Amino acid sequence: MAAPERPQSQRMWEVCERATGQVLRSLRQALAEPTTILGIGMVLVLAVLILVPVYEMLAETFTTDTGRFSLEHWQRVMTRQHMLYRPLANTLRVASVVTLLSLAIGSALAWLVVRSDIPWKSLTGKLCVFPFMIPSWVSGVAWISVFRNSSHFGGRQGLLESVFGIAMPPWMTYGYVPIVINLALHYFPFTYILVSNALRSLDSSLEEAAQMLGAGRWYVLRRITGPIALPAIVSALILTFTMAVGSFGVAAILGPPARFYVLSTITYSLVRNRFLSEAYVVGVVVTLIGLITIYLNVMVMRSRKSYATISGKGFRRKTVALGKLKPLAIGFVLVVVAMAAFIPVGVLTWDSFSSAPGVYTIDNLTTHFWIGDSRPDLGVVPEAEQGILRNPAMLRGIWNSLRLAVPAGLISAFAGIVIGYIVVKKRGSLVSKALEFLAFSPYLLPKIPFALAYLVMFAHPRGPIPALYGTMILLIVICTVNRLPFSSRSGISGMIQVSGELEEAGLVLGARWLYRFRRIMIPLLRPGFAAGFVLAFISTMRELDLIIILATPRTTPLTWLVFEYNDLDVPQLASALALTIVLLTFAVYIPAQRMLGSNFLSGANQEGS
Amino acid sequence: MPAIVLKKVSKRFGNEVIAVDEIDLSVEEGAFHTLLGPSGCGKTTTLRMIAGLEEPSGGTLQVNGQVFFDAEEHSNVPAPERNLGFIFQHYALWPHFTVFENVAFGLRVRRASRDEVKTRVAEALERVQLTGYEDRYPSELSGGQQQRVALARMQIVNPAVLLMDEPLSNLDAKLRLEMRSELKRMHLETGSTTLYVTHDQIEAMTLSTAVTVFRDGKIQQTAAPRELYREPANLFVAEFVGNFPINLLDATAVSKRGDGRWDFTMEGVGNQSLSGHLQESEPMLSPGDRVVLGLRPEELALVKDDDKDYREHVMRGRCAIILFAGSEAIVEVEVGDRRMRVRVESTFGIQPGQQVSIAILRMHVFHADSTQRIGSVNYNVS
Repeated sequence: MAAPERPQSQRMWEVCERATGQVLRSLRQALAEPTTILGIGMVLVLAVLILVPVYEMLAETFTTDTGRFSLEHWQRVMTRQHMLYRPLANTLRVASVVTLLSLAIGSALAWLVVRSDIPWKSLTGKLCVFPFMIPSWVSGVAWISVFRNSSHFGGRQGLLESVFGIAMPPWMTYGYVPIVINLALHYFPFTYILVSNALRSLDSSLEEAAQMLGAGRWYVLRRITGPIALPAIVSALILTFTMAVGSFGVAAILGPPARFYVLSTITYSLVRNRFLSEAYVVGVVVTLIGLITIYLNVMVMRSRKSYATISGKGFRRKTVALGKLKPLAIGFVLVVVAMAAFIPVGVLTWDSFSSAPGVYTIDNLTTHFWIGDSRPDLGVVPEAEQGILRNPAMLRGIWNSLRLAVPAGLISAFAGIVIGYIVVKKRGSLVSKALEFLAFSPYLLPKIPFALAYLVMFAHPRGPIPALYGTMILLIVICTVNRLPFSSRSGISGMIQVSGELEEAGLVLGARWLYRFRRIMIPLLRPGFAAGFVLAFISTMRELDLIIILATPRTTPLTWLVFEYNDLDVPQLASALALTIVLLTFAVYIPAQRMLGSNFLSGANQEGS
Repeated sequence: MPAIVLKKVSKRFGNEVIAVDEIDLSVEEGAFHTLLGPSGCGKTTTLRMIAGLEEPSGGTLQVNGQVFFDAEEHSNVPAPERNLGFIFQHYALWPHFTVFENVAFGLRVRRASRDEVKTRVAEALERVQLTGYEDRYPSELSGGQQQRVALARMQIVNPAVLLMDEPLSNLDAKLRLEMRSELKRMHLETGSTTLYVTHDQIEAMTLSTAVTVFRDGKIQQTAAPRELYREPANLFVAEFVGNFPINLLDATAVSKRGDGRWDFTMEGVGNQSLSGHLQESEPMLSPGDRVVLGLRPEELALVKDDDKDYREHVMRGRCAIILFAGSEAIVEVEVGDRRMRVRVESTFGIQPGQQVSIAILRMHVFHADSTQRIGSVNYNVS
């Protein structure tokens, strides 16, 4: 039966009134609870720091100098072999081989450490993540020292030629092969961490069940162990590929002398030569490749099931006896770790104490490049420079590195916790989803294009935001944002652990929000915060890619100086500075490991440099 | 002929931990033999050594007449070649395979033809009532269904002997009961020799034709369930087997009377004493020996004071707590400064605080020092 007729207008009015009342009520509710406001604020800030710059960069590629829409930049890039196609082909060639190599090395090491009876397991496990501590381009600097050849590239002898008389062919010194080797030796720890975690959670009884049904060792590996570890291997594959596509430092140090350019180095060289719009176009292309691989990752992960088989009780992990292969396995671990970490550090140390570079005799040693006086009488030669520990320019580099890495570490660790709190508290709401996505999104952006986007965005004042280009604040901001995917993820997982019953237990006992936060949440989150800070600090200390375009003389950190002195061919200073970075990193890492437990690195397993 | 024979088999992990200590064990053809014991007693290690998943440190091991391991001759048949069935505690179903692929695995290893795989997997799934679940993944099955997939997977290759490692410990109580009768039915149907590991004595008693009790890597007793319960070889077995914890009283064997009855004075229960005929013809007991008397709660009864039938073997005490459990109840009675548990079918109006009398129906006597069984006393109620 129809309701009694009422005038149309009156019904409309009632509907309006109800709707307005509802809006007002929810607004009041929202305002009463600070997390929503905080969340919306964070979403806006992150949008300005991530989405707007990328959009601006994209827009810039379609704009002429006079501000009109045009495809001319794209046309110019597309029609020049050296700007896009050749670097693109090189990038794919490097990335795919690096990925295969580091997957092979990382998986083999993971299997050896988790599933075989290789001796000194805990030490071996630590050694396998050790190369992670050394920036990849630092190994690049050391590589040149070892593989130089006096008949090519400037005529100085490398270690192999000088000591052993082996003249390396030029393709072993610069270009494709050394870039691939150095990147693979730097990226395998990521595969190692992902795959060893997967293998650790694999119950041996899954393999034993196959044995009981008559399957031999290889059959078990092929049909059971391999497929179950596959999701971890696939995500290691995509992670490594993405990082290799975006990587800059190694290719910038080992590529140009052989005229070998990849997308990131061609972008940098375009910026240096003031082809900014063209650089933006290439930057957009790199970003697209990154997005495609991540999209593939999502698709692959969605179509496969996760095989988490962790079961607390009765869980067994049996080790496989290596038997006669044991010395071979130990040799493999030692060679990999030596090549990835110990030899580079050793070579750098020697170089930093060498009077003349490339001479490997005891009487060539000097402390000049560490603590020596300036020698203006020598003219314009490297030896005329002061040792780095007395040189104000170098000390400023150290100071710049610290005043960049400490705030970036603190802010990103703190932001991670705040984001974690909002995302967990507002689970399911739009704010929570938007914030989670935004905090994760820098993960999708290769670093050189991201820095370019910041160049576009902050070269000029925009509305209330001043021109930040040339300030330390800009470097702190970009390094902080770059860390957000990792710090927010650990913040979210930390919050999920703490904010449930532990907080509610406080609530039931009558504790107010602030008291709960102070007495329950903060103490429980402190280790997570410390780990977040240490990881962000370390990765910022050796950050080169984000900084190379944005640093100005007043803000140059150590990494930038190493890069410059390597370019100027002063290996002693470059080495001394690179060592300083490594030492500063360890000065923070080792006490942190003592305090936080040796495994805190694997908590933030997905990060590159 | 026994199907499984272990001689002086031991297993050491490293130099100090002895998981299994020179055990001898033989499992009869067609038996449902259970290895029973608390966790860490070596029962699972023994099972895994038979399976070939763990290599013994010494001894010899035979299944159906074939030597699988001999320390002297350095022979060791690898697990894949032993053709034994194994059920793992957590089923160990492969998460990346469907039910069909899980069950088919053993046939695929043996390179069976596609048609054979299809028909035999279908048969196997039908036997465990899982037809229609072929395309599911293990994570989409309930615990009981996973268990049945594991059974089908094991049976499809017709293993010579079935080995099961606590297969029911992951199920909830109701399913456990169902699967228990399922396993028993399966055993009756196929008659396969089964070696079963559990820490649950009820499971062991209900399923088995023979039980071996383990402790600290050593075998305590091997016997049929009834004998294990009626005549536990030592204090440990007496305490481990039985639905209710056995009451233990320290006592001294005082003297042997002319009619063959022994007198025992008990400690801590207010100078009460008992006497009775030990069933064994020549018990290893001499006057003055320190003994432990084992009184099962279900072999005690609460009686009225004036009940003449029980006058000889009655202890007096005070009812402390009544734990009511539906079909039965446990009454805790304070006797002197000890507490005795008595199982009753009905509490017939007893209240905590009341004086009660406990009648002893049967009593187990153990040496206090060696903890070995001396014998038992039956009090025949006329």
